Amino acid sequence: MDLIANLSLGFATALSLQNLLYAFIGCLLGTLIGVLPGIGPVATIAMLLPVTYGLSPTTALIMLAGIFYGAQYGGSTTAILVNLPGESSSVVTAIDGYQMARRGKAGTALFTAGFGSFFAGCVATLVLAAFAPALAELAFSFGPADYFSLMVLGLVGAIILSSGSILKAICMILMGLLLGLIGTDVNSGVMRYTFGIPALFDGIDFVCVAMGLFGFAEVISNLSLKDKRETFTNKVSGLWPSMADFKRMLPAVFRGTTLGSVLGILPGGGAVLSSFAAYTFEKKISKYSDEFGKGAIEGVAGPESANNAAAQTSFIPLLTMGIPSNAVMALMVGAMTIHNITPGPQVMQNNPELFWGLIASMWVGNLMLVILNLPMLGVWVKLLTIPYRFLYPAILVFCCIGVYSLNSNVANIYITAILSVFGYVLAKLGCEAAPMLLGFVLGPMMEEYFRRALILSQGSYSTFVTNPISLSLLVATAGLITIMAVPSIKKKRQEAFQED
Amino acid sequence: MEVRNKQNFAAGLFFLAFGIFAAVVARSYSLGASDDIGPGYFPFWLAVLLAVLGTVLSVSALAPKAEATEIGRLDWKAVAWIVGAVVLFAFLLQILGIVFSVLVLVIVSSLGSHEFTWKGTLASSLLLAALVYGVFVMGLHLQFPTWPTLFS
Amino acid sequence: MKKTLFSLAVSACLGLIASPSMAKDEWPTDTVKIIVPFTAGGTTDIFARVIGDHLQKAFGKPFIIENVPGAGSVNGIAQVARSKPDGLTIGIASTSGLAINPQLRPDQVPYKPLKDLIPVTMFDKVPNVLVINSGKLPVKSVPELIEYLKKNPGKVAYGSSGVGTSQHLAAELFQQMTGTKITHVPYPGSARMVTDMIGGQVAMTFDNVPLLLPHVQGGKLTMLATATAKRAAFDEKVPAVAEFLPGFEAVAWHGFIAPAGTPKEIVDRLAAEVQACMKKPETIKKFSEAGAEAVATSPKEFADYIAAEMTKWKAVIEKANLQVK
Repeated sequence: MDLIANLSLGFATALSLQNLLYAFIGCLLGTLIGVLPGIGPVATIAMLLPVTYGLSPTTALIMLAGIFYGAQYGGSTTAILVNLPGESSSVVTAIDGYQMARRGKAGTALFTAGFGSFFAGCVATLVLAAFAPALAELAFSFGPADYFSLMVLGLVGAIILSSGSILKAICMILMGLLLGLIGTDVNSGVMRYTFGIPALFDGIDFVCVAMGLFGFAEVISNLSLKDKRETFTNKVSGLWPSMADFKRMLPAVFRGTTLGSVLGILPGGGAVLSSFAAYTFEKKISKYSDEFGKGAIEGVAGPESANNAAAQTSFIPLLTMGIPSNAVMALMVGAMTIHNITPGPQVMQNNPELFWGLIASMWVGNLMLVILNLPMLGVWVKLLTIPYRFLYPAILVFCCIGVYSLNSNVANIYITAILSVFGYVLAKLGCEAAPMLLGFVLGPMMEEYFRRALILSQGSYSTFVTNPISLSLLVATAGLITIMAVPSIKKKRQEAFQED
Repeated sequence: MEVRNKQNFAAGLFFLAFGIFAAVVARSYSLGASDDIGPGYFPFWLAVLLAVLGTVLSVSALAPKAEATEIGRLDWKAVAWIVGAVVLFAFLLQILGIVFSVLVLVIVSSLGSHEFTWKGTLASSLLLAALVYGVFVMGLHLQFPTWPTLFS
Repeated sequence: MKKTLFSLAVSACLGLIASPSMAKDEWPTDTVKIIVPFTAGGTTDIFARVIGDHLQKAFGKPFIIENVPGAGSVNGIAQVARSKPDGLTIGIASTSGLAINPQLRPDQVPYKPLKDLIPVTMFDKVPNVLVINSGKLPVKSVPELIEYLKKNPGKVAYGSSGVGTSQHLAAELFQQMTGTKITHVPYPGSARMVTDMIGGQVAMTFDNVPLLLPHVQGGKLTMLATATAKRAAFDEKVPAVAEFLPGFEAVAWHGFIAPAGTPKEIVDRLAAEVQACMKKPETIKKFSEAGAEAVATSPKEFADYIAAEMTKWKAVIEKANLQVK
């Protein structure tokens, strides 16, 4: 069979000593920058791109890909341990992961994240190998109206992210949407809410919002707690999940992987949505939905599997069509161009060792990450024993450097500082940051697709219901709203949160 | 009339204020027509919706049946130390370079802790500065001013 | 780290002793910073690094790239304009940053291209090409396209990589010269626009070659013509739009710039060396593989070219009433 022949070519390439070495370097670096809050894979890959000039293209791409998915692994570590999501995909991991850590189950949470990611990585690699060309076609059948409806579904799902008042969650999403609109409008070129400040012309970067609302605001809250700040280290239980944990985690991992594999293919928001979608889905179907927001293991397993699967399948548009679906993939295009490979459908034929080698290396890389991370679990959990008075200045340092390095601009640090005050005050008023972050990420995309759909339909709103994909997504949204509105479930929901 | 849910009442007012502000600014952008939605359309209606929902939130906090909540004390001292340290870092970065700015950031932000000790803080600031130099300057080659630029 | 402090101190002392004329002769006295107003890994960045390598070898001092992306290259160019004119900070600029944005949004561009900056040399032209999705448009040539567009005003949508890019203005110029009306659908960058081209959401575009060419070769898209004045080197069989619309040209170009006040000797030496680099066969090959044409111009030629481009795009912007407040 072709697939087997191709995969064996891939593994032969990926397992060569040089490629193994660079895959390892990539994974290690990726984990490192993932763990450091604020330094994302985009900045790192951009910095390291020139270094790869001297390598063979396959080796260069293997290393850069390693950084990318290594960062996904590392990012969840910080999200779980210190409630600092460095990437939009780990925002939801922070919700329940951090609560697990506070309850002394940091090890279990980290293990769950690692296991879920590894499983998802393996499956997604197979998906990539077997169905890449067919799946690429799916991305083309998604028009602007369909994307808009997908975003609507995502935003309605975001309400479920919150464990408190639904009304407040909607308000926070709206705030996020508005913040997301700051900057140059794609459709008209008009600068909105920039007040003549050059640093706002391209909008506020996600990292600034995440670091401000989560990182800095959390530090301020903890400082003001004085002696009351709980030290969750004296309650650390075993690193390994119990049998009961396993039973709850496995199905969530399966579901997350499926969701992530499919959504990851969609350029422009697909990969971001996957972890949110997985969380929402788990919370809806779980028997333990009342535990969500307080440390439910499914709330870590589902999203973590989903974001890793999506990270993997987001390579599909790049490898099969030469179209980058996010900033990291755009850098990959740059890496290919440097080596005189034109990304596009012909890569598979002209450079099979690159195509299949890269795919096989992802599996190898995932394995390396697990091996790399398992022994580290204990070390990471130990980090929590560092007295807070030493930990928080370090968090501040890494956050500041992270936001500065986005585009070498100190204005980012000022923006983050302002947002942290914002986040602190809102937290005091019982408003949660996660729905706001999702609104921030999806807002500009939603508007863009909405307006594009209407330009293309010449102003006819029916475009959103005459497109079958868009229609079914809107029907699903309506279904979700109905479920939320049904009194019995609503009552159960309220009961669940009464104790807050 | 009594404000029972103080958290929600204050949050509602905040959303209302934010919504009004955003809507007023959005009025200066064109709303456009349905076949060419203008840049003002989305922000304006989102802001109006936010203001309306904020009002609902505040009003419902007045209801006799509303859950009673209190707003925790805002610790402006903690805010000032942390935000102050971060802003100082941003300001000094261009002048002193990353290494000295990190020292300043760690020391100033540590002053905000009630467990502050000079010895521990100095040690951790030096350690972090060294780490930053090793990882970001030497390792990742991030672009920032490393040392003071007094000479140029 | 001692070394850095030491070299800083030494260069500071040298700066005090050395007379200005000597500084010019000795240029570059220290590391030269090339500000690239785009992210690392993009085509412009790659080109800058290729030339930077050459300059480093030729002058024997390090030439480092600093990426200052943002606001469609305005941020980076503004930083060049603000820098000390000592030849140690130079930059790269393109069509949109010099000839389009300052006129499209004058309030938000903090520099005047020919006043605050000195053009050094233009080093490449990146041709835009006119590509259609033939499943959506039943035409095979530029005249057929014009005829079709005239019959269906406003019904056909074209994608661009953003408001105020050379790709957007190419389509505006095309409409103005042909008297047609096409609906503009802007995208944030080329990648998603190309996805929608293939998916048939938008039917035509003017864009750079690199992202489009694989899909033209793969048969998903059809290239009708190039937007260059003459047929482009990468495929002589493809006609130029100018053959049907005399005078039509819409290319993106890149060049080196320096802050106003940079000594003429330095500008000339730099220009000469960049020109030498652009005439090397391997540079020409490298550029053509990335879809660009290597060119070598003198500072004067570059300045004249910028002035001509500014006039041309100003007219298009005014006629289409595109200026953003």
